[in-house]
Amino acid sequence: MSLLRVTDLAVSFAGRPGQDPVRVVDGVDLHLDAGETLAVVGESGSGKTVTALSLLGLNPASPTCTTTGSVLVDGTEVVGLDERQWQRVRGSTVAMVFQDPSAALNPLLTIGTQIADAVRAHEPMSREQARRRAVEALDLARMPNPQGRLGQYAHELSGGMRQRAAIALAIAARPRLLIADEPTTALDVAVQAEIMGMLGSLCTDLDMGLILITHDLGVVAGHADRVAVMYAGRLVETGAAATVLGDPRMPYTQSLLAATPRVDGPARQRLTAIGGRPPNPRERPEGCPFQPRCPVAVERCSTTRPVRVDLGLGHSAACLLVEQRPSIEPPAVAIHSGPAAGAEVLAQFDDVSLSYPMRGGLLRRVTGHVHAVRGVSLSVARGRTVALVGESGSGKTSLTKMLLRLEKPDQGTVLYDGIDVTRPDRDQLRTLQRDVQVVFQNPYASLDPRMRVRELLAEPMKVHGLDTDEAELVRLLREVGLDAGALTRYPTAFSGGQRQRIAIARALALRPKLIVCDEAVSALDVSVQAQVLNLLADLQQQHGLAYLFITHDLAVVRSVAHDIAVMRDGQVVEAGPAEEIYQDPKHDYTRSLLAMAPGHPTAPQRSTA
Amino acid sequence: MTAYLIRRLAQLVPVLIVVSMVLFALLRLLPGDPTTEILGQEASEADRAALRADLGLDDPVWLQYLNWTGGALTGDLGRSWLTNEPVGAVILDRLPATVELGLIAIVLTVLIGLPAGIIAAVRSRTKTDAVMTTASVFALSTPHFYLAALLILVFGLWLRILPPSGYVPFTEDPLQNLLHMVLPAITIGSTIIAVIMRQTRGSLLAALGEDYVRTARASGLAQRRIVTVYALRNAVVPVVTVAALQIGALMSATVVTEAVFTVPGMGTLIVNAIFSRDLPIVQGAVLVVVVFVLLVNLLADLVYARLDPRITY
Ligand SMILES: Nc1ncnc2c1ncn2[C@@H]1O[C@H](COP(=O)(O)OP(=O)(O)O)[C@@H](O)[C@H]1O
Ligand code: SF4
Ligand SMILES: [Mg+2]
Repeated sequence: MSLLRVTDLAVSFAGRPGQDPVRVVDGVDLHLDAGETLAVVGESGSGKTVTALSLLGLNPASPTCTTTGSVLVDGTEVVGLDERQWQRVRGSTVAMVFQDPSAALNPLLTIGTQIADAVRAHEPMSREQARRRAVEALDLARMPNPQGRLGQYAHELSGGMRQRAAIALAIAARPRLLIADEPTTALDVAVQAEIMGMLGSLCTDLDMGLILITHDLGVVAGHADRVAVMYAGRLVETGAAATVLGDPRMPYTQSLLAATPRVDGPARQRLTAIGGRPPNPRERPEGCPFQPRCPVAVERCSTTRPVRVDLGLGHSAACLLVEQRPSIEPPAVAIHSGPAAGAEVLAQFDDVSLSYPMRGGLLRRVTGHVHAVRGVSLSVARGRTVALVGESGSGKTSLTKMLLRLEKPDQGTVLYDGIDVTRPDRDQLRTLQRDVQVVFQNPYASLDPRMRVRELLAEPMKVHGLDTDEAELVRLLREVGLDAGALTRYPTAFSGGQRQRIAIARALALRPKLIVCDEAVSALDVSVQAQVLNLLADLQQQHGLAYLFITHDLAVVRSVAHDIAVMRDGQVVEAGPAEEIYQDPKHDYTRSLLAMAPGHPTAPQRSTA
Repeated sequence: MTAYLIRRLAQLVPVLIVVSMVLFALLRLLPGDPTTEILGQEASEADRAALRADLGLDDPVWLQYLNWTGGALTGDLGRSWLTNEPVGAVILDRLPATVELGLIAIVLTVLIGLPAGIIAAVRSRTKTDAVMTTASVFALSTPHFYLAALLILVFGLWLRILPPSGYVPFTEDPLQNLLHMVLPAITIGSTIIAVIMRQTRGSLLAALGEDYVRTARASGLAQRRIVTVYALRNAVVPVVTVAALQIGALMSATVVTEAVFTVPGMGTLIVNAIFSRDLPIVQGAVLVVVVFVLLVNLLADLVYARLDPRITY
């Protein structure tokens, strides 16, 4: 008997009064054995979280939300349980770890209290026993010094430790099935690898089933036994991990693979972005939901909805052309090479250091300093991309803040095109304000929600006395792949990827020469990330832009960087041309970073012609 | 913690100095001659001059201020210009009624406002919620003097179940004392009860929507424990802030309410002293009120830091 067997699961949400309910999960079948890991993959909005929540009865209650189909956990049907019956299942049979550990732990209760509560919800026991169980769970989650964590609060832990605490909380009542919803998306690469490894061995040790939800195919290989690919609320391909990654039969799976940057891929290679966006659940096409974006679609795709066809050995795919073995042609286009190494230097950090004061004591006096940047020298050449790699807290953002005049270095100089950035005269200041722009990770926070796109774009231009006529604004939007209609809308009307395009358009408005991209694509889905990375490459070619590209994702670095600088504890430990660093990393830390980069699919090999 | 407390108390000193200066200056700007109030319209110019000299009113204002603060520092707030009683004794005489009123209002708030907010949040978007929310709108939009008059009319004059006004000291007759306190306490409490109810409802609803509540549900915790421990604690933090901000409003409500119900408390004391230009009384009483408000705010910050471990002293 399988640990979990989901048959024809469908979840619908009631719309506003007068609207039809919308089906966001439809006809999903899954199964899982104890000790096995199933990865559920798909772009955001494809229904992964809703599917997971329905295994715990955590979707909103009816009539807001209706669930049909069958979910057998350990042979027991759970669809249709009442709230009290669900309480017995949650935590003790099925448990869940959520995406953002900072939000998932209660800030006002100690880690120990929260874990002990989770245990005592299912097994009556003394406080002392519950404490012991909490320590045991923390230890299983490989939390350093588990005993000492009991009295700590979430804010006293680092991101990775918070996720360990959240995992300990989930497994404390010894569930049979653990669901981890994007458990590492919010974490650093180094920590990501550890957490993934720990989850894997937990399953083996505790003989627990694991459902790993992710939008990154990169983490699937090496961590999952089987994969289920979801698109628009449906399961479109499923099978053993090696089969699905090695011989994907559904064009959507192939597209996802092609859009995923790879550490072992060719350098500075154009990614194959998936055009368009997943269909709105209210306007799903009648035929194949992927049809509007499918590069190999034929006519009947728009009228006939494909069913999943069994391809043997548990591999199945939903595509009308599955027998013909559809294959999307990856356009193996290398990005133009750009100016050679040794091109004219545009920006230069020369032995710069930066420290932030720490305050404490009775009078809030400065009691010490955090040395964020320590004696860093680095240069960015005109028209080239320098990737700044390192864990969070390694000083990447602090370094760029000095170039952006948000902080003054304690020591050393920052030069931009011959201008001393710390002491520009009035003309030089204007040059700096125009030439150096920045795009941040979170396009939600960096665009003022009360301004229309027109104002957002025109504002910096007006300040610098540039022409802001309609044609100019439309041209800017076209450059980032948006149309003129966007001008009159507010940022909230756009998706994450589109907002990032608007942020880029705003940065481009002043015709800069250097753009600092601070984790600019980290929050985006792979498909969208590929689009934005391609856009940045195109803009570089057209305008000869230089990028200072901050990221923690080495696969992304591979696809964009001319040069790489690896930072750790405020220092650059290794810097040089990308090719050299990937092929022959000199510093141990670089080597370990490369080794920890999420394992990437071994196939299909994209041609490098 | 102790260091924090010392620092916060030290910060109160400049605030008190400024407030006392402003208070002193404003009162000297009041129109009218105090000697007229004290000696009456018919008093001779000579008598007035003698009185002025006697009260120190001929000294420069800064010297008067220094004399007053110098006394205040040693616990001597001066004497009433009208009755010559020591200001401190007068205040001590009036304080119990006001403190009692305030305490009852706070107890009512905790007993009514908090639970009502919790019920409204747990049953949000039901009839119960709608009724409570509407009631709170009424409570917030009814002026205190109007509510006071209404209560006196209904309970004191028509139903005759509660005394319409007046005051009996607790030491004399505890039951009568409490009966006399009911209507004024409801009047004063009406606003703050409604404010606390709405704030509790809002912040509890927000907390119930947080990820950590979903985590608690996903671990199989019972709804009761989720609401009372996992959500309410977080929801109470902003309620404390709002409650502290309401202290000023509570004070002004007290002044009006004491006047309407003729309760001999600080409110009536201040109002009467202003009308009779008995400035030492006004100064002393207002100063006590200011110190009280500052201490309540400090207390709120301490409670806040105690509830939320992310706040460091
Ligand atoms: N509480 C809800 N009410 C209405 N629609 C919802 C709700 N939760 C999720 N959805 C919709 O369900 C779809 C799938 O969402 P989700 O499962 O979160 O996707 P994923 O986890 O794959 O990113 C989306 O279109 C989303 O808007
Ligand atoms: S059914 Fe048609 S549109 Fe859908 S994936 Fe297959 S080829 Fe593409
Ligand atoms: Mg999700």
